[in-house]
Amino acid sequence: TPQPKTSKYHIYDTEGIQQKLREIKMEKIPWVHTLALTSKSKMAIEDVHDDFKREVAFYQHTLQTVLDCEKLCKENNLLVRRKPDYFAEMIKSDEQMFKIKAKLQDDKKRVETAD
Amino acid sequence: VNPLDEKVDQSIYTKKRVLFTSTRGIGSKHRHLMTDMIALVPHSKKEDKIDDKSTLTLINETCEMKSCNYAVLFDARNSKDLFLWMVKAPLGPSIKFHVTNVHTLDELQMTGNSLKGSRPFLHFDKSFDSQPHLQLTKELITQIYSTPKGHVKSKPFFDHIFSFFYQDGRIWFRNYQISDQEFKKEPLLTEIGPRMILNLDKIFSAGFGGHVLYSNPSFQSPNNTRQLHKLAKANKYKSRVE
Repeated sequence: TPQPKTSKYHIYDTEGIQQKLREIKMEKIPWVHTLALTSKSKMAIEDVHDDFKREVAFYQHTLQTVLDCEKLCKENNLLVRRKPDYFAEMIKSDEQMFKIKAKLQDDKKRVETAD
Repeated sequence: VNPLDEKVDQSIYTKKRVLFTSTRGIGSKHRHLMTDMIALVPHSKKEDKIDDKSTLTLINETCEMKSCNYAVLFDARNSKDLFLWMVKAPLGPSIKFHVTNVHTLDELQMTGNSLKGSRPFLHFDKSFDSQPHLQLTKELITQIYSTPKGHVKSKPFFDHIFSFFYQDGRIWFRNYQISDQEFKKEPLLTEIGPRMILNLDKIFSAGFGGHVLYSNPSFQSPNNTRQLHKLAKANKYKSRVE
């Protein structure tokens, strides 16, 4: 029986990678230009293949970063919240959002009738 | 450097453009994924499909012509497999991923929404710092997906976050909307999409080429995965017949 085929040789040029990293790294880039944070705590997921548990862990982990980012925004005098009178194009169209709302209501109805 | 000091020249950080392109023969789902990513990255520049897959290094020249310093290539194979290249052009590095478990913005189960052009927060899980090749990956992802402050097409508010997790040997991508609850004052996340899993295949030293700095020992080509799957099915049937 054929075995899972993985590459014949494993290359790990640690030195080359670190050299490349030094080449491209923007050392003193202010946080306001990247808005990137790395979590301080390690993620604990019981089972990555359990959809529900995994997504909850992802959510919790991201939430902590959001709080930290908002704190950093305030320190850097960046406006976090959008003004209520600020209108602009969205990623998803109104049409798409109507569809999503309709589906949510549909689901709700179905649960109610089932009860 | 004081980031808010107008006198200090910020252009070394803010001059950034990412070329987004695909090879010919890309499937509809993967094409949608690409348009989603273009919509989410304000500093992106879309380019025509690449005809000749054997000369990907030519993309470095396209980048120069379009004054882009990064490139993201959606490389389709047999119309069902998708490889994603993230490249700092032209000197590298280049990282090649195999993309699986794709969900696009069109799907109805992800109910979030965000402004077009708002700058994303980026979240990385701690494991990215544990190994050199992951550190390099994190740095390149940060440089490609972060929109610099004051970019012309960006909006001055924050309403979404890109999350990258390293789990099970692969990188999981999520995009959440951040909305504040009026009473609790605590932000609430709703997933916007798209979703994908990036399986690291190789890291190259230059733009779309050069020598291999890293190859993933547990990477299995999609063709091989399919073959094994088929075989497992066939064996199941065979054992049932016997």
